[in-house]
Amino acid sequence: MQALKEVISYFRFAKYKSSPGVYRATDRSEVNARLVGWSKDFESSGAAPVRAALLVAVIGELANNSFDHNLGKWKDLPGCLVGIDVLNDRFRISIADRGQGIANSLRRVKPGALNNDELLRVAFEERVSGRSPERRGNGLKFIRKNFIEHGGLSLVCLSSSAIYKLGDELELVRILSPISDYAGTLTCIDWSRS
Amino acid sequence: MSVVEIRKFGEALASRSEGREAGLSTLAYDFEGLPPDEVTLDFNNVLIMTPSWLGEYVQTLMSRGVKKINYINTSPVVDSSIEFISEEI
Repeated sequence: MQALKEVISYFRFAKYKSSPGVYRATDRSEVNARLVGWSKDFESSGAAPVRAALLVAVIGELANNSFDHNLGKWKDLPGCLVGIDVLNDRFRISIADRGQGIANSLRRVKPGALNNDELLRVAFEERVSGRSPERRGNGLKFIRKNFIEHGGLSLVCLSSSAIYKLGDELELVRILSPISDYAGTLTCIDWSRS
Repeated sequence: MSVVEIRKFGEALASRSEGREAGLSTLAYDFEGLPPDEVTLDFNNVLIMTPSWLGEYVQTLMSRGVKKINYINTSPVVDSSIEFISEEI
């Protein structure tokens, strides 16, 4: 789980060590240029082509979200850090940025009494965007639907002092939920390899 | 019928800004500034697609007068994106 460890370090302390499976992107093109390679890597590790493509589409959406919603809003380091761990029965994908956080982005378009946990749920389950009135806001729903239908085991998102969880497994929740001192957004997904 | 081969924009298409640029390029160079009412998008050999790229591409075409979009040679990952952009357009 070396990659996840470095992504957590980036999320908490703005520091990480270059390691296998750790990819730094200060510009979205650095993520987008790697997508085909990651898809082929997932297939080499046993994923069916359709599942590999969907998993990479999910990574692409998450990483591009970092740039779409944080341009000019980075706390310190711009961009994101992507981690890919290949475990016995799953891929563990982690993506962190040090941006403004999802709830802070959405509060502008969803003012009112919603707390940050509720805003995070809205982000994943409703069509809404912090960049309204632009017609967008389906990315996290896309991720959630494909997670449920195509091999997702566990998803945990930490952002704006809130947590969003999907799946029945507790390992990622156990690792991530104690983290309280951070900037930005961290999303970690376990995805079945077979 | 106007057919656009999406593969010419790349195998992996994941960014809203790149989708918009691709849409503007299509309008300028495929349609020479005169978009037809109906366009068919051919996804043959496109490996990775996200609703961000596709939503922005289709919205760009439709903002300039394209009224109907058809999709051919899709894959499950393309179909998933098509499903999600239907709410945006």
